[in-house]
Amino acid sequence: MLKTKTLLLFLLKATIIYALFSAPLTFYDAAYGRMYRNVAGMFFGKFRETGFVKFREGKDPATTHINIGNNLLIRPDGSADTAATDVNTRYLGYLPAILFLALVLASPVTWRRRLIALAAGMVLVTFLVMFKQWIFLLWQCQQYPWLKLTDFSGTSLKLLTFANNFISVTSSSVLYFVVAIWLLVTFRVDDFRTEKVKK
Amino acid sequence: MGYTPQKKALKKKQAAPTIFSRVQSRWLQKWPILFFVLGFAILMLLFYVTWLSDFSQDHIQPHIVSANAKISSIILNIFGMKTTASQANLSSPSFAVSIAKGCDAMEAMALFGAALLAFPAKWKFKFAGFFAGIAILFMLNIIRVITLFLTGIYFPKAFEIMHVEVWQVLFILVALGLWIFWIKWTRREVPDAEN
Repeated sequence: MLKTKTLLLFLLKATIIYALFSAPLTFYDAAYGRMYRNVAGMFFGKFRETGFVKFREGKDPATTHINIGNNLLIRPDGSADTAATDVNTRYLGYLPAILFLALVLASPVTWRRRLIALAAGMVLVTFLVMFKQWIFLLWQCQQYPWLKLTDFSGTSLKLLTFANNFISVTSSSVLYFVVAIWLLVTFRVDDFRTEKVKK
Repeated sequence: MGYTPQKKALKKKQAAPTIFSRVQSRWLQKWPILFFVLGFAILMLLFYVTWLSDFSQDHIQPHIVSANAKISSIILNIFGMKTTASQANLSSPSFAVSIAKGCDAMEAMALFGAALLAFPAKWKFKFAGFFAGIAILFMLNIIRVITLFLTGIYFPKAFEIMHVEVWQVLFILVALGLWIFWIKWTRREVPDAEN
């Protein structure tokens, strides 16, 4: 088990690293936004059986504009009605990612373990954020029945409503799971072993 | 004493662990943490199922939010802010704020409680840590509401950043810090008399 000084230093380092990365600089938001739109496009470009989702930069670098459509509803001239919405990628994905980054970089473990944890954890955090995006997209489709992409009812609708309230409406729930991912990828059981008090 | 090929092979086997033994060693190091994280995730899920239920939203959450608003108002009034609290609303002549769902610190308390319950420790430590931690987080939330209210009055442009980016993560770090120090407290052993 670690010393009190090491633990306090960890919390201080994590706070400083998080503060540095969360500074309101458009460069961070623009870079993350581009990455987010590319990854989300790979996951949801083709959505369900006949749908498609387009991700584009919104009115500012932190905003992503989303269009959800159905290929079956495309008119002969190539135009189609789509459901349009905006998401804030800073709140949706950037803050969870930098919280994870800050926790790993501040962790009192060797650099080798930190790098392995960063590589594995960032993949898991990205999956978590994409899961949140998926729930959001399903919820949007349910709000626009004319898209004919979802038809949830009964238990499946209750599950979707719960998932939407749980992970999509509250922004903090994702952050808690980021903490769980950090614990999982960074630590070993030896790090929590009992210490003997010196006389 | 002769140095037989068998002994040499045995020494080589001991010196260089096989891939299987490495994987086994890694797994033995990781599975208790995986088990803890699974327990933690299940407890958090149970919390959200209960917390997002209609009963909780109609009969429990309004009282907690109202208590936060009233206590914050009392403290602000000590400093002459002339606030009034009505249900979830906290208002003064110059600024008003509504304590929304998620701003009552219940999720952070649940995070702390789930981490405590999922961690292998004696129940006496869990009870003591749970009540002390919840009390600290509740007080911290009152400080959060007060600072956000003051930010709204004096630095309105910084309100959103303080609300989403600063306090949300600060709360998680405090809950995490409390949990780590609680583990440290439970892991300490009193030395034997003969030692």
